[in-house]
Amino acid sequence: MTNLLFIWVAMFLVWTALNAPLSAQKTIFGIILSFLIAVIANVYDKEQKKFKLKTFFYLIKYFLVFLKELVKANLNMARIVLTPYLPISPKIFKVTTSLKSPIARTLLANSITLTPGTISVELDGDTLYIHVVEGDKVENVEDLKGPFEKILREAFE
Amino acid sequence: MQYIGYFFLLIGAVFLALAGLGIYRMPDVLNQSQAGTKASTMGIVGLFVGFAFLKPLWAPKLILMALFFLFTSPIASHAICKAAIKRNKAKFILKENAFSKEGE
Amino acid sequence: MIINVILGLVIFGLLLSFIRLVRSSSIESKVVAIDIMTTISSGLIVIFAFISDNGLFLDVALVYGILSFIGVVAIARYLEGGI
Repeated sequence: MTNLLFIWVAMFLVWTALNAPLSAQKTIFGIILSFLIAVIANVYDKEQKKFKLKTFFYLIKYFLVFLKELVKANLNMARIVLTPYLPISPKIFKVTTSLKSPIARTLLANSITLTPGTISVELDGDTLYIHVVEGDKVENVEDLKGPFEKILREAFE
Repeated sequence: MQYIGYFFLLIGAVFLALAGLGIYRMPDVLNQSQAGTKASTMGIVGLFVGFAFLKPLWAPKLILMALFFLFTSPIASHAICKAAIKRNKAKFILKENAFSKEGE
Repeated sequence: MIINVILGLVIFGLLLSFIRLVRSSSIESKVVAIDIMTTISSGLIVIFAFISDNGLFLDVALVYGILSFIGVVAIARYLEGGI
């Protein structure tokens, strides 16, 4: 029941953002449409996990850390591209993660792609294959995951 | 307000140009994807945030589009990299024993 | 005035990735170049919407981004041998 209410409110917010000045017709149609989408999504949701407010706050914290790392990654990449002799030494590393739920693993792989100098090539079970541009500078393989694994573990488990 | 918007616009445009330069200079697929995805994500988000400051009426839609690009462009680059690794594994420089899957 | 500088920078990036698209030999790097080109031209559509002061072009840019994402993922899936 909480899930249905949450999807309803979220879908109505997306509808409001897409049709910015709302008139009466648009509001009524949006309420009906988002209710239909929430019912259909709820029918096909097999796991029925409880929505927790704690997860939501940790996701906001995750998003702020993510933006900071994104800016740092781009400055690093700009330095590499603008250097005349192109200082790259590409390598692929193998890292295991201890996260359990699929959505946490997906978010971890997604944020590794946007952190400095790394890109996640494949996710197979609990093993991540990470491609690194400056492979000579890596000393500890666990550092490649950055601060994200801790935050995601707090959020989803 | 207006100057903040133009500042973000300039940052976004510079990073989009850097994405083109990076994809032009890098030698193989994984490095190209590395340079292109990061810089173009940052550039497009900077551009949209800048326009959201300049035109407050369009702000909700622009922020929605920025979130969309922020979450989908890593997925696209990951899909291409996975396909490239599967098609020709021998061409890339691998660390010893880093990419040994069972049964292949 | 400053919008011309921004337009010039964005078109510079678009041209360089187009050169990479024409001159590269392997098909995966062509797909990467197409991905970057569609992202950059989606930004170009938003700049055009700002210049002509017409909010309808934002919807065009949004749908363009969604379709380019689906196209790139479909091509990658085909190259991998999934379809």
